[in-house]
Amino acid sequence: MRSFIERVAALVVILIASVGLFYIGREHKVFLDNKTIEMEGQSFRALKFVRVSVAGKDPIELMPRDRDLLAVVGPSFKLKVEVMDEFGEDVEKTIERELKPGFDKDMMLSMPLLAADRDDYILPPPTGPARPPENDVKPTDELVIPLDAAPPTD
Amino acid sequence: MTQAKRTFAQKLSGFFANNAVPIIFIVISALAIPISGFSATYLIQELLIRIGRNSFLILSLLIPIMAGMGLNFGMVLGAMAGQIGLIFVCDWSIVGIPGIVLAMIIGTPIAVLLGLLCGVVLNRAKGQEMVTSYILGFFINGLYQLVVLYFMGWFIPITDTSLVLSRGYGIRNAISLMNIRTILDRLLPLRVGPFDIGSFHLGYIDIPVATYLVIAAFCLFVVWFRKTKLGQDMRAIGQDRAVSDSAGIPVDRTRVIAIVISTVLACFGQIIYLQNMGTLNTYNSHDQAGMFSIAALLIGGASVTRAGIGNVFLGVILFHLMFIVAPMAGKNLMGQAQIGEFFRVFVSYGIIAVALVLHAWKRHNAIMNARRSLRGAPDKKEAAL
Amino acid sequence: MLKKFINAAGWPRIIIGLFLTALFATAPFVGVLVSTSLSDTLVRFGMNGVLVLAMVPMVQTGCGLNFGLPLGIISGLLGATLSIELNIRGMSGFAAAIAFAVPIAVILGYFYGQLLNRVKGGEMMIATYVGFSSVAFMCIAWLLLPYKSPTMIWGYGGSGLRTTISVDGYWHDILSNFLSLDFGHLHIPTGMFLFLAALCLLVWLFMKTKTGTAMTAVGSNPVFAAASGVNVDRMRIVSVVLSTALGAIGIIVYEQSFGFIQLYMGPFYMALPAVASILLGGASVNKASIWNVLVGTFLFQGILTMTPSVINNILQTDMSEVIRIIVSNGMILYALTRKAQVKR
Repeated sequence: MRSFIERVAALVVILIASVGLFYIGREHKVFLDNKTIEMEGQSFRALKFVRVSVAGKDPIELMPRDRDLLAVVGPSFKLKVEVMDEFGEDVEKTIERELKPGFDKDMMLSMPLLAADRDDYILPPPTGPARPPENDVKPTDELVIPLDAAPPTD
Repeated sequence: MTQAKRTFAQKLSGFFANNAVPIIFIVISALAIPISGFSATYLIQELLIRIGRNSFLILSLLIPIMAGMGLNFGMVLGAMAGQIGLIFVCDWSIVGIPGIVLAMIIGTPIAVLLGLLCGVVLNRAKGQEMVTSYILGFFINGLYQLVVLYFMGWFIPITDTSLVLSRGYGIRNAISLMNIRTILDRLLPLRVGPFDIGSFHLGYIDIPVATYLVIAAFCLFVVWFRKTKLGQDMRAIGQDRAVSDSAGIPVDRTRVIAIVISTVLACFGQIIYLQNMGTLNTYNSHDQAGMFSIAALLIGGASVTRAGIGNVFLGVILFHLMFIVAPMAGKNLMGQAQIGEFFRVFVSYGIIAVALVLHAWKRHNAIMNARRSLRGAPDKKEAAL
Repeated sequence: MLKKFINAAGWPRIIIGLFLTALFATAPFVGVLVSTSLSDTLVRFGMNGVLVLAMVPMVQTGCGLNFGLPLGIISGLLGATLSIELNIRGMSGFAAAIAFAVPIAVILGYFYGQLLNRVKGGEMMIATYVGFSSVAFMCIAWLLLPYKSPTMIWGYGGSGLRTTISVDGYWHDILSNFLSLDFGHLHIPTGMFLFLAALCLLVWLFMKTKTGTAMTAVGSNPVFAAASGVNVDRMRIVSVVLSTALGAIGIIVYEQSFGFIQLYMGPFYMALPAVASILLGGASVNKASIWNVLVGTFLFQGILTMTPSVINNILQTDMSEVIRIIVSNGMILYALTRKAQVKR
């Protein structure tokens, strides 16, 4: 009985640990979007020039209609957005937010919405990215043509 | 004086007889290295990487040998379990060390189940463990392909479409493990060099310290495990199954445990191997792992019944030295790299064949001697009377 | 009555047989022509029959399943390439290929037998790796052997033989088309069947001779056979030589129907289907008959032909290869574990 309880306890610990690993190790793709966007009948113009820093990394600069992608690891990260004038010299407005994607995977952040101080700036990630070409896969019981030692072909 | 000399000569010839395989390999390598024209820096760096990459997998073979079950060709089962773990981790995009650990956690129950299956099957085929585990590897490979190539993305949910074939289900044949690539190797980086020893020059060499620590921990585990009750039981079973059975050791159960441990460790080993490679060849990484690990262990001087940690490291070094050097040597010698590549394939298989033959030969002779001495015993008795 | 039949046929054969019948029964409903499928099955049956037959002698003398079949296949490949090199065409080319291959097979088989005699009890694993390493060795040889025939060597002045060599214009289908019959879509390669039947008959007759019965005795009880004056080691060598020679002939029959000679890694996995076939036919690790060969080859090749066409039409996906892998290796596993149980 006691060993049964111990086993269940061990199992629970491992389960919790794996959930924890999932939580802290999850990579989130963050799309930064600077496009004019319609929301609730209103139109939010793309920003002239914006500098975005995600999770303390080197800032990314976005021109109108730019979209960029970066990856963040962990359940939460800091976001710093500097809205600049069109020459990219003066900072007109600085916005700092803390994002908590938690268990979710990817997200897209709309800069115009963010600049307008709205809370619905987190959009679902765009779908249907280009996929790398693939070889057709056939099942095989061929152990090895070890590493790179395939016979010559015509 | 002459007495001592003779025993020394005997010792020497005994040493050569017992270590024929490693000695042959040292000679081959010694001849091939200069022909290949690789620099010492390159060779040492490559070897350090490959030791870190492969040792864990090879170490997983030790415990079944201890239990007298021969070379565990069923280790590919564990490798498959590890790969399934990696596929999920990749799909969920868990990166870094958490990704590796999570892959191990997912792989472990699968490896335990497969190990149990393997152990039970092998208990029904005593004396034919190797060929049975070998065929079992093929059989489970069929099931693995069924799951990975047809079920995943069909009713096993895979969210990341870049892992799935364009037809909508089944995993692609190569998965990039960029997210966990060399994560363990780079956890504790150490760069040494450059050295100058006389005219001998060595450039920068990177050492994957964390991987080596994990391997060292495994070695300690093996040393410790040998001294436990379970380890002692396994050694007893390896010595003589019937005697152990009459001594009250649960033979079948212990054998199953040996295989389960080996399978789980092979699962971890495969994950360590793949994090270094950085690419998962979904449909043949596991097979290669089995075959190269066994060949390397045998080249290190292990036999089907005796293998130690020393054999693992000697084997990894010699096998991979040949592996790196052979194609270039073949090219420079014969003008065709292909010959070198076929040569190393030939050697990998040939060495397993030779080791198996030597083992069977010894066993055959031992049986013959036993019979002869049995026949001889009554004569002696009569003589005594 | 039913129980008796089940015992006689054995569960695996019944399951596989029912599966195959079900495949044939469903075929018309999913738009697969039964006659073409049956023709394919028959052709494959003829192609592979001799290779499976090559298992029999070694199993009979207790040398286990011949995982070392690649050794015989290599002899066959050498014979076939020599015949093409000498530019012998037609039936005489086919005969020449066999004539070259058999002596090579006998020599290789003799040494292979010597080796297996020294490793009694561990034959199967060693046979596997002897097969593998000989294939890898021959990979080097195919690159280096001084063949000249332009149909076989690399076009652009490279050295060594091609990966696949067409036998078209030499002896493609030379057996299959001999006396072949056509009923609509149903094609029967009579010549190949006659050849297979002749070889089966020869092996069967050989097993009835004094040497043959001695071989069976060695297989069923080596100690008893030795006690009654049979030279066990010699019998085993005879069986290995025979198996290897049959393997060599088998691959040539296979190639004349297939149309290509596959070199390099080609013979690597050819032992497994043959082993699976004979086990599927009801042979065990130490007992096999001609009947096992015929039934097993038909069932195995039947499944191989039918699953792609039928299952693919039902599920819209190609699962046949996976099914083949699971069935063939499952059969071998079944046989390996069953043997141990009988012993106990």
